[in-house]
Amino acid sequence: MQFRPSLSGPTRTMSLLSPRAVLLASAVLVLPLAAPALADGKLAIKVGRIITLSGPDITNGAILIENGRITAIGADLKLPWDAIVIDQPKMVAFPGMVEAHSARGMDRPNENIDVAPFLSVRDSIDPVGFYFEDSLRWGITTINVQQGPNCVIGAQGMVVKPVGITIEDMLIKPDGGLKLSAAPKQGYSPATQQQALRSAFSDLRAYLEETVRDKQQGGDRSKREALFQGRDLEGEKSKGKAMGGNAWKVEGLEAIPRGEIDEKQEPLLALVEGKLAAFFYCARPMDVQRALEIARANGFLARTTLVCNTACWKAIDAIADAGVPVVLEGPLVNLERDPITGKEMETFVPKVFADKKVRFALSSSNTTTESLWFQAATSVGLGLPRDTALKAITIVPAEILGLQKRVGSLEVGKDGNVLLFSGDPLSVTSFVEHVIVEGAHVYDRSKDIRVKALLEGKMPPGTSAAAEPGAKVEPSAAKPHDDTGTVPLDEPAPKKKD
Amino acid sequence: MRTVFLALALTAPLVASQRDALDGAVALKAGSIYLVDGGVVLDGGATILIRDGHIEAVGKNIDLPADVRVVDYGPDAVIVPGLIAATSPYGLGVGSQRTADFGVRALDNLDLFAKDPLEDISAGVTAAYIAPTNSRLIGGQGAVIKLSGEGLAERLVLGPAAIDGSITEDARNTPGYWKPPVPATADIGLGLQQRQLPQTAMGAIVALHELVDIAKGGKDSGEYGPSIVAEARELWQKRTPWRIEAESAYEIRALVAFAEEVRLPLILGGAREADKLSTELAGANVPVIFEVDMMPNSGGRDLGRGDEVTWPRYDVCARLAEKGVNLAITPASNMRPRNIRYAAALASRGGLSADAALRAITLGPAEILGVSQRIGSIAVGKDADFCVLNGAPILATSSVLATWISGDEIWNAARDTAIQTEARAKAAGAFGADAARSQPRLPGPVVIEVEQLYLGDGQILSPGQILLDKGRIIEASSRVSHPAGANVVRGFAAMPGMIDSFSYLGLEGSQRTPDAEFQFSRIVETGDSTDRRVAKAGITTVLLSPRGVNPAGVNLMAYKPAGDNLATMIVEDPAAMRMMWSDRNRMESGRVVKESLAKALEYKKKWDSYEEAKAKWVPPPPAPVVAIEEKKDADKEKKTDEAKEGDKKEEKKDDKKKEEEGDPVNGIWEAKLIVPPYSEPSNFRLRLEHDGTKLTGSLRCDPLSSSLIELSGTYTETEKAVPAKDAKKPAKDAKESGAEGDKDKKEEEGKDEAKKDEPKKEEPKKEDAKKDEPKKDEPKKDDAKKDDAKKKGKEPPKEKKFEATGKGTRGEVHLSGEFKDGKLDGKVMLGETAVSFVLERTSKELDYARRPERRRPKDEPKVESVKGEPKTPSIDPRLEGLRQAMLGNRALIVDVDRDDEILECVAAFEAAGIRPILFGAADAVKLASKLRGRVGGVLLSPAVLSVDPKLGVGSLTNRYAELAASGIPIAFKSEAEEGAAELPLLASYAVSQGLSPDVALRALTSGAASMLRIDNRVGKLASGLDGDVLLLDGPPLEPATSVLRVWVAGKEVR
Repeated sequence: MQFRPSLSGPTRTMSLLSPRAVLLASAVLVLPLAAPALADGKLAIKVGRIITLSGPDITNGAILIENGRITAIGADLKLPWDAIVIDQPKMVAFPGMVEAHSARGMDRPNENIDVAPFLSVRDSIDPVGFYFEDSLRWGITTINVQQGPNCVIGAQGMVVKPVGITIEDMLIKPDGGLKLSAAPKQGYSPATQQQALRSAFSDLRAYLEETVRDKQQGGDRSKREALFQGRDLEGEKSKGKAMGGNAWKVEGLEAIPRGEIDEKQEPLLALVEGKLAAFFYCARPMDVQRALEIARANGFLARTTLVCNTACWKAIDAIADAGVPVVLEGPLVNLERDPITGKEMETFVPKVFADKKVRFALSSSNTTTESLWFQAATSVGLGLPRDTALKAITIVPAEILGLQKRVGSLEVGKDGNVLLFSGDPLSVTSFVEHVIVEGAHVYDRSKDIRVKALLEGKMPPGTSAAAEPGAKVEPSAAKPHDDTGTVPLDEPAPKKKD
Repeated sequence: MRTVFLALALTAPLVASQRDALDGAVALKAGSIYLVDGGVVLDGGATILIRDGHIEAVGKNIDLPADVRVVDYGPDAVIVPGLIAATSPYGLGVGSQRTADFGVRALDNLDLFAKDPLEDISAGVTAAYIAPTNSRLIGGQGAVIKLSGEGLAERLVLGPAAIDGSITEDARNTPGYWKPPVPATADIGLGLQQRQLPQTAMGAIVALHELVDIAKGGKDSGEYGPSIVAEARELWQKRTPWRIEAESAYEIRALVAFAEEVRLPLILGGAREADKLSTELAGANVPVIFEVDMMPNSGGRDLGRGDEVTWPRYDVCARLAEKGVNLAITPASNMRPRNIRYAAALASRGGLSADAALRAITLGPAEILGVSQRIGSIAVGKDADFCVLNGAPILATSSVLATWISGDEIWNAARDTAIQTEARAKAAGAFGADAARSQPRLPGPVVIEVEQLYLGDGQILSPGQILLDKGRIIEASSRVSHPAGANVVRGFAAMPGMIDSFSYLGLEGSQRTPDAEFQFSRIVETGDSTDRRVAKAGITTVLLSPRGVNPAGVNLMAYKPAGDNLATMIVEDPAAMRMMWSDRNRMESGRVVKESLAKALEYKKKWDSYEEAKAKWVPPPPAPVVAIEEKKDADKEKKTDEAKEGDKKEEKKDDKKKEEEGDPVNGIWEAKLIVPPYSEPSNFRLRLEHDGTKLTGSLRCDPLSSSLIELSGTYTETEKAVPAKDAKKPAKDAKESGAEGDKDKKEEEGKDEAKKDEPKKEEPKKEDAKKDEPKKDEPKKDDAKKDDAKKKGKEPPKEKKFEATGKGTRGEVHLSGEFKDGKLDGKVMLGETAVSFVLERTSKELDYARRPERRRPKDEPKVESVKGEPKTPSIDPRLEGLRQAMLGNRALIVDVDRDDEILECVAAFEAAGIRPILFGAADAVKLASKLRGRVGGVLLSPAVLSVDPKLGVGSLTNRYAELAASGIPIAFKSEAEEGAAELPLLASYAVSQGLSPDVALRALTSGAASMLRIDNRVGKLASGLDGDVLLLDGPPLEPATSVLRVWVAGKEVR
């Protein structure tokens, strides 16, 4: 099921609203959910059960959050007198879920240029996008926003929380990793895609060799180019030396100050040096081998995560050998037909990965749902162990993002990201009732306007059909909302009906 | 419902199931093996021993190790090396943005996880060259792969095998290249699209020059992109050949000259006009991969009428081969590699030998692409890649029986086609699956090629071929079609299976004489070893007779003892009738037969008159339609015209209808019902029928079952245990009574049509009925009805209930209900779900009942005849055989010996219009001239020669030859069980003693078949007849000739 009532009504009715009214309406909608009021104070959450995922479940326990971090957790906690207490003895506390890779939340997910590691999703994320609001509703509190898969080497991602109205508010980790794709970009074949990937690194190498040669010959081309590109050669970001990677070396590279490295090439160099993580997209099993080939040849295999579509399970041996973690996108069950017998075979993909002991995170990019939690529940239904399924939406993606010390489980010292479920998280009847992100209460289902609109038929204020639940908006009934009081001329006068 | 299979055995993808699990050695046997290298062909049976995917030994007589698994494709199979497609679509993709890109690897385009390309493997292709693209000057690196195998290690033969490029027109349409400067500034701007070479052939040569310079280590201008240098130099150092496509003569000339100049290791691809430069190509030692310009799988191509139009030419290869150019032949790149054999055959025009053509699709491409140390020929140490054919490799009529790749049989036509057929039948639905299971596994198509084909009717085709499939002869002519995967068998001669015109084979010693009605098909069993031995001697069909004859005659059956499927074994039953004329007491001879004939004539007359009457009889318009109209008319009459009572017939009919329709249960009941979990109402259609207590019917309701639910249950009429007040009520109120029991009301109404117009509330029905009585003209019936009515009138209303169950697709459905006021009130239960319903009867007609009547063939007598239709006489099994014989549908065999008896007998039968087959007939030879045209034939007692003891050797007569010479049809009989196997010897002996071999052959095949009237199934090699064929090593009926192989109903008898 999807709680996704349309924001915009029929276009005809929308035309009656002035731009100001629309703006107002959207502000009203977003604020109650996403206003970042991160608590500096103390918050105590008392619940019937705490699923910590780092240890055994705690019955009738409490979590104490101070300054956004968990400071105490246990069954018999002495709560400080000045703490605000949320006491929900029937509810179940669960760590905020983590999305290791998501190509949503941006105005557009894909850039046109093949190799564009110098781009960053920071400039594309839309903080008031509906996706972030929905993420809270589904209990996702940490999201790695990555560019879409239609690229060769794409932009750098960013880890955010779905709270806040500026990118700075949302930021958790600025370097979410570089997006690469082994699946052919539009208009490419696998071979040309692979050649473009190879070229990107061989071009980097050629550039570095050329730069070193120039420097050794006493030239200052890199410096002039840096100045031409307008870079701050003295700033914090430019300190240090270019080092090169382990897989291949360029002699004499350490002589080049980091700040002089071409902006276009710098992120790739960081990747090769192991300073950046890579998210490598694979649509088909044949892509997996090519992705691993590139990662191995350029020494960033250890920091690579494969973003795999369903069919990639066939390349499980190669994935297991490489020892890389995986984000599983697409349907959980793979269907295929035997060409001779015509028999249809179904493969439940997460189980394949679990059995081969490959670390994998589930993804909400799925054909049936956008909820991580539903993915986990379905997986358990299809035979995945509960523990594995729950970890695949919390601590495993946290590890993939290098945030295992901050999120992914309920432990002292971690971020105060807590979900309160109305029951067991994998039960169909359970919902995320409250979301606490870094100690701030950011979502309350009982006050969720959209859920209300869906379940009770009350449209959120300001939307087109707000007047009556399910009422048909007659042109005559919808009075102009703007101050001028004009009625559009093209609107025919309502006809009388017998 | 889907089940989720957890794929645990991940290391073994689907392909592995087809592979041989055995690791040990495998020996492949076939009639001939083409080694290709040196043009060697091992004929007359040879073996290849393979181990671990490689050839360990090959030869005519090789010692096989103990653990070897032998795969024998038979003496007619041909093994050639696996075919190598020098052009294939597997690696093809979009070209690079650059006009020349050495780094694009075709291997990257190869999906190793895809299913095996069976469409090509099934045509014998085992390896292929893959190119990354075909539309760039330098598209990238090509490779040679196998079509099956696990992972790159098993698939890859050589990579990179060649630098792949093209200077044809396709490649000269280069894309513009744009590299964005980042960041774009006001000074630099976004940059412009750069044009790339080449647009012309000369441009292409210039560009190639530059590229070779770069590859050789010259200065890089940067025009071809920054990343080509390293790869180009590496490949040049490895001396990787450049496979460049060129088509027209000028392109080829320029390319060859260029290659000579820069010492480029060139492979010429495409090469449409290469023959014009064959000398140059041979001189420069440039191998050619010739793409045959063909699109046989489509209609004609209109290329235009101008002079510049290039017409496809097929003699290029012959000219190239003549000059000694190393050659590979492939289908055009837009055709699948599966056409490679056809392409090679097509390119053989102009004199390319079949051996050279085979080389051009095996060793030729292997050498050109640098993989001949592994594939391309059959030699010790090479990969075990084979293509097993059922005939010569370069022949349109040969097809592939099996394909081996790396020591595994990846494709087997017989096996895989059977699996596919089964799967397709299963996919067709549950009924399809059942049908597939119940059907016998038919052998695949078989083609028999012989030097002399004896069709059985006297014709001999030389050479001749037969195609057997699905148990029948599809074709018998000089050249027949060879379907894919057909098993081809060769031999000297072939003829139809022989017929033993009188045998006991199958009686297993039984001496009993069955009665006239007995049918042998009831005791038939599939062939045992004895039956098979008889068949191997050539006798495939016998006329089975009991040993004794009862006076009224016995039925004989024609069948195939060696068959393995009852449905096809029986040729005809009864096929003939046998009677006994001669009697030991000669006064009695023929008496019984004459009596039978007389009776049979009477019997036949009855039938004749019936059929005559029937032919004249014009059936009334279809009954059901009439009935409805009449009923409506009658209703109208009732309502409008009360005086119209006169027409008794009309009334009577009406009565009958009412009685039928008055039934409260029978008919179609319908309603719209909401059945959980669905919220939409769905159609609920119930068909009910009862015979008093038993209730049958069917239910259609989609939420309950996706298919029709067959119902069965009970119908009960019990007296209502209701208070007296209620019980009286219906008696008083006619209307209500009528409503409760339709039957009563309708019956009353039927009698008194005026009643409807009378005031509704009046006297009880009983009186009503009485009042009507005098009006009736048929007192008997009226009385009965009156009584009936009385009884019913007195009776309390009945509770009419039913219960029924049936199985639907969602489980068992239980229905119960009560018939009330013309409605059906009840509930339906599916598991725990119960839904109550009130159904309305929409029809009282049960449409199903009419259907069989409509479908019944015209000549078959109807059980319920329509009025006025002639009545069918009953069938007398004792006389029916004679009647059929009189009609000429069935053979009649009569035992008769002496000359006077023969004459009398033939005369008696002649009177009845029968031409009997004389059995025994020792004296028939004497009467030959008198019997001509009057008998169906003669089944002589076995002795061929007769001699008159008084006259001595001079009177030696070949009785068969004498009869045949007199124009009397003859056939041979064994009068034995397994002794039937010697029948061909009898015929052969008769031939040796002067009988025409042609006549003898016919007497064993088509002659016997037409004599026994089974020539619609056996006796000849003709399309549509049963696939009973003998393969011989010499002319038939020669004593030295033996039967090599036998097919019965298309299946070989082993």
